Amino acid sequence: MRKILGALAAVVLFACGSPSGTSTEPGAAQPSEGLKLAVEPGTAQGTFVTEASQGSTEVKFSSREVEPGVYRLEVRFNGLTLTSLVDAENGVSTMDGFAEANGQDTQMMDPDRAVVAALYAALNAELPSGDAATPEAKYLRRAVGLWAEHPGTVQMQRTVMGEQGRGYTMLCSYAKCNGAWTGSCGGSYNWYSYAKHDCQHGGFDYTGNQQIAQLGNHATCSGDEYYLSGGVWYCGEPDHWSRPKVQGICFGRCGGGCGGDTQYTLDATNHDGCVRNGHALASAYCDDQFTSASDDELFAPNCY
Amino acid sequence: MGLARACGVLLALAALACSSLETRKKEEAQATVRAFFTALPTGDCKVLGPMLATGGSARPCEDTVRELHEHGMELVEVLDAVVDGRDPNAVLVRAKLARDGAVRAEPFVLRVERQDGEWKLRL
Repeated sequence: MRKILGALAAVVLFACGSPSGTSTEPGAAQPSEGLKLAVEPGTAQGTFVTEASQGSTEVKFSSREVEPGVYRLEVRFNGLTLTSLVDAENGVSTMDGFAEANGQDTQMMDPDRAVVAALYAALNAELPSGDAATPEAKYLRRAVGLWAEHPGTVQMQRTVMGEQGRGYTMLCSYAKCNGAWTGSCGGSYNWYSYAKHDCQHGGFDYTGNQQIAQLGNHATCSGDEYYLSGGVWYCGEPDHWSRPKVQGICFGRCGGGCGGDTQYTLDATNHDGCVRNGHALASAYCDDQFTSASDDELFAPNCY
Repeated sequence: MGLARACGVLLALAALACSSLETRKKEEAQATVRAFFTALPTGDCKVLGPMLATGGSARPCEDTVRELHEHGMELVEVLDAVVDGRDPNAVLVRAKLARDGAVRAEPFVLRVERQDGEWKLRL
């Protein structure tokens, strides 16, 4: 009887125990840091290993055209599988994330976002920008950019539908200043008003939730944006000031910072206006803006 | 034959035990969410604090409660719960929340973690 009880306990512990993520055998060689990417007709796939400070996490990723204009994406790391089926022709995508060991739901946590953000940065550095990337590589980059900002409070399994004019509104013209997409505005700005969000401070109409922004890739300072105060540009982000003027690190561009795609849209501008205004990237207050900007990031065309 | 039957019974019992353990986790996590939002209007961190997870990105109870009050957050309905597939000591509770009286169409995913033997909400 005691043996049976012991066996039962062992089976229960095994069956209900902690699922393990990707494990490394003791003594096994650590994969080398950085991105290994292979782009061939119909596929883009590879591995990425984060820096040692991020635990040398290994990420495996792939993007395959499974039907004309339809791409199946997969990113796997830390026991998490992220998948997406992107129908680029019809502007419809399903996205999901689940535990690799058992297929159950899980949640994007800060360390997960950090790993995906590092992969996004590596893809941006390696792949040609804009439409010069193959469709497989481009949609992989876009989805990775989206997952890197996925708030924990938003379900992993969702459908993203994009349709210009209803789903997303292009703001390409505001991304130019001084007649150019990049480079200094030289004092000749092309202001967009207002980037806006709602949060604990107030609704969309509250001036503290609004910014007057120069969109586009025209300035950066130590990885941050600039804001105008008393006629002087300062590096950093204002926290719920009344309609400050802001610019820098590709304000209004889909994806974090200056990603490899050049989509400037209304919803991406509002999302930047939230996460660069005293709210953390994954703040629940910016959930709505993130969800609204998702179809922009997957389906909006590049401005240049 | 006797051994095979014993193994079958053993597996059935294990599945039953595992299922009831998971059900209990989900019920306790959902109860934690309901208890927190029921007590939220009091703003009393002596009551609310022990219901909140600590460590990681968690902020002091007073800050969390002040923000939730400023936002007028209320629990409308707990929809369902699942044990986190990567962490058996965390349950993801899907809930409808209202902000300043307006119910958000998309449910929130709330994380409840077991810390020191208690289920605690991570906000």
